Amino acid sequence: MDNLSDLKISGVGRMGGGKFRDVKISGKGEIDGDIEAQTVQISGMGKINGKTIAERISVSGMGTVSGSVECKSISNSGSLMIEGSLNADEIRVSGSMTVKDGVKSRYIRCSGLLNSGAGIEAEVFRSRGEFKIKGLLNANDVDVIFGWHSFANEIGGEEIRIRHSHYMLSFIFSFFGKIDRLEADLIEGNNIMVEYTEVKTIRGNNILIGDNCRVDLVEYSGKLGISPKAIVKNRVKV
Amino acid sequence: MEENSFITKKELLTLTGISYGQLYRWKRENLIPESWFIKKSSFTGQETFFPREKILARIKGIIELKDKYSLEELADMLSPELTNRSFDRDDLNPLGMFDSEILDIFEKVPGGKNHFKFIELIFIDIAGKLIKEPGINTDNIEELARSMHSWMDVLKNTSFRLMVCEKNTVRFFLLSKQDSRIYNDNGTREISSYDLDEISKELNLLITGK
Repeated sequence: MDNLSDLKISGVGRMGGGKFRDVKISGKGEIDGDIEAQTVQISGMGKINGKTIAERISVSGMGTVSGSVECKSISNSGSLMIEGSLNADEIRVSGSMTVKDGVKSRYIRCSGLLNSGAGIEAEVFRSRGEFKIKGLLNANDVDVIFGWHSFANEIGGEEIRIRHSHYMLSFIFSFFGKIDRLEADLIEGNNIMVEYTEVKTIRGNNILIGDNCRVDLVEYSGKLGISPKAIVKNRVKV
Repeated sequence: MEENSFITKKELLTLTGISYGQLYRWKRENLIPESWFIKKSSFTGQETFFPREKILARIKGIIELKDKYSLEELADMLSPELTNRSFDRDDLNPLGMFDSEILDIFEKVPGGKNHFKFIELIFIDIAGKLIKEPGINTDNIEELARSMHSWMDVLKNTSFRLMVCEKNTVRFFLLSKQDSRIYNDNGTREISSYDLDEISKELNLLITGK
């Protein structure tokens, strides 16, 4: 790796892909072709027309990758669009990130907006922002505190906690009948706690259904708790 | 009969005693192939079904082996089709399963190497079975080996079927997804078909048994 050169675009530029040590785009840059690098930094407006493999990726401006991304860690405080899939050990998002082809990771922490066009797999999924997942969110530990609105077709794992952030304005909004919701078709896990959630089916061992939930069917094998402020149509002990 | 060959997720969990967490974990770890999760609508909405025999055998296997091996090692053993392990002649000869003549053919075709990925072994195994069929010669096998390389991009898993067909005494191969049907014309006759999943399982047992 030592004899590799750096690729820097500051100003406006367009370069070809290849193997590099550090890649930095701080103006408006475009890279044509796959890149392999130790670090990739986008702080302006950067576009990579190809696949990206790197140790570390950080985006604080606006980034687009037209292929898939593989890396150890990725942090995004700007806006990032990945048109392929994302495979990373650690993902931190405080801006907005869209991944079209699904995410595979060990640790995901998102305090911004996370959009996924396919499923997400992780050991730990921590969200303090908003997410929209078309597919299955499969994580050992799902810990969500959301505001506004979030969505996933299915959520599955061992420990699932979904709470509402109770931000100040939500209290005012609720006067006008607008209640924040997390929506899902199915939630399955060993221990599940939900709040402000609208879901068709919840299945699990121990389930706690908190305030402002709307659930069509609950199937549980251990304990079940239902808040008086929740609506649960059917419950079945299996 | 159709209903009996599938099992619902709920039934599976009660039968095997595993939890949702475990099932989702094993899916993440590639121990259970994605294609086994079959979504069907039922009277309670949408339900996930599994191929009964396959999933029960797989879960039994995982439970038996999980204390001895790490989940990663297990994935290598149970789903070598998903990992990048490669095999050379020194690995294959002790198995006594692959014909060296056929290995020669697969090595010599364009793109061929002297070591094989698991998915390639499946085709080599099929070739070994094919050569015993009447009407198949080494040219056909060579054709199969060449085709295999062009199919590699789509062969991300083993949910495929290889069919041997005949038209006007000419033999040819078709590769199709496991769950899709092929409608052939009247002049084409299907001679035999090989389920890549089945063969992958046989090979798995053989390789992991050593």
